[in-house]
Amino acid sequence: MTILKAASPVAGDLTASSGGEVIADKEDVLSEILLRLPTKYLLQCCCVSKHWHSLISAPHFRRRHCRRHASTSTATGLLLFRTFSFKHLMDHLVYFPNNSNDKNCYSRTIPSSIRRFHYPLAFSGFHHLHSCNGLLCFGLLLAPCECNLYVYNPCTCSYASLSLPKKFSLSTIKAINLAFDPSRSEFYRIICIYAYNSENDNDPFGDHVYKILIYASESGTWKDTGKGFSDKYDYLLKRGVFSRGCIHWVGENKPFLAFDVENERFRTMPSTSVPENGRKICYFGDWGGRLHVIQECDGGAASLVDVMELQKDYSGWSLKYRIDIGYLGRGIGGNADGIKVDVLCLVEANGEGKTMLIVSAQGRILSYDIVDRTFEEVCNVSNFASVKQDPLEYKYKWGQAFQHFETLACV
Amino acid sequence: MASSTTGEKKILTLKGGDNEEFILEESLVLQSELLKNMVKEERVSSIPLPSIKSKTLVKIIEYLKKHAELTPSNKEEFKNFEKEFVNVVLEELLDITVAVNYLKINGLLEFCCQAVADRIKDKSVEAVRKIFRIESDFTPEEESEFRKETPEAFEGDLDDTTN
Repeated sequence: MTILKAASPVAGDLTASSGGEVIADKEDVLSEILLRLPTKYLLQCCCVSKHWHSLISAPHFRRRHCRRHASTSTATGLLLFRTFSFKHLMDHLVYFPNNSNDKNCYSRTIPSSIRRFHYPLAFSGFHHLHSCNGLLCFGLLLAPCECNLYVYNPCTCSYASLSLPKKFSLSTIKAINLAFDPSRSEFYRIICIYAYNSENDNDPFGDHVYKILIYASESGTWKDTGKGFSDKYDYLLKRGVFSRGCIHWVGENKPFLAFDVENERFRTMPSTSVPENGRKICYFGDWGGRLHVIQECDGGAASLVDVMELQKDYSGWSLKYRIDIGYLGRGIGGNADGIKVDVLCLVEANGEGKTMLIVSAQGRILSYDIVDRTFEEVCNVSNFASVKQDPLEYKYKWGQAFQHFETLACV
Repeated sequence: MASSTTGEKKILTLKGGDNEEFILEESLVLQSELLKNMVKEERVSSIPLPSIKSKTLVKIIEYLKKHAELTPSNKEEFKNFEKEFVNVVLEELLDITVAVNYLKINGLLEFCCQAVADRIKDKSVEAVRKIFRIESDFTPEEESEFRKETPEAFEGDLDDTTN
């Protein structure tokens, strides 16, 4: 406080009001300051006063904030879902370790702010689920109105509801993928894939074709692109990855697929090698604009997996690491047999140049440093009271883990 | 740079809040959109700035001088200067920010806003209220709801100081 005194106005000064007070009344300067605050802290600032609350809640401000922080924002954690009978339940938000702005709560159950949407509206679970750069997209069968699709920002608890075009329903849709990149646009697209049974014998794909239907948030309209692809390759359509304007899909057989959402056309994309029995994909995702595939090593020991990265110019995949996942399982299990380990996410810690795998092993979430070959527990899901009362097992695979971004993105 | 100007350099007087006078070259104040307009349109030689404390004005003039000397070769030095420039107690930084906004010195305004944001981003809600002299206008019910929903904004290890 002594320092404060020294800085207070000297006697005879004409200005009675302090800079802080003036700023609080000057919306333009205040906005400029708030605009530079990290999302999480900014949301706390809503409690300062009604004026701050309305300023921070204004869509115009949220869009500016989202745009400003788009290029520097990275995922801070993982949202974990449990899947049964084709429904997804949101279980936990697990923060990545070394997340400097969140030291003391880096793993916990879903914050109440997210749960507000989760219960009771969504207690029956989500049908279809996808996430991209902080927004979630899912369907609700028991939705209170005709709208059955939702786009949700868990950070701001805001959501938009929309309905599929008349002739479609959640059960006829094969997969839903969300395309949202705030560094390019404040608007998002929803890419729906539906099965199309052609009665035309001249159809080049035979009778099993998937077609792409797109919702554009700027116009609020659906469009059947007419673009389709054969389903015989068994793509993992529910887990497309949106990066640099394209949705990418991988599958057990050749070739991978990339769809340019803006221009509504497929583009060529290299694939990884295919062993005789098809690829065993352990993970497909992106980090900082780089696409990664982790697949069982071709011809190596069964417990080896390859971490591959797609080259920026799409010229091919390069092998980044070969990991003995069995070694990891033995390390975690503490015995020679080891336990099954599922990769949930590949994380590149900024600054330190570390590459980590976030893995799930029997209810425990751990981070594994690929280079140092060390692991640490991020959280033990089975310790949570809500989990203990639940008869269902808490096992997670990469398809049920989505990167969590703190963003003010509008839906 | 200065050598290229012909004739006498124009001199301008700025008068701070406590009537202290600052005499400086006119070319320096042109970095301020507000003063530039005043000088160009009204051809004044003395500008009273009663809302700006002399202490704040001293700082800003210091910045204007440094910024005018900025060349590609002393960029690093300027960056260090900028860092030192905002390394003052928060209240003073806020005074500077207000004055810079008033004078419309755009580059510096952005830098100040970032500095203020960096300084308050670890503070509790109570501390932020004190810094900006804001009284909560939420009802006690709303207030307690906030405390329940985001306890970390009020407690936790958030910095509670205002400087």
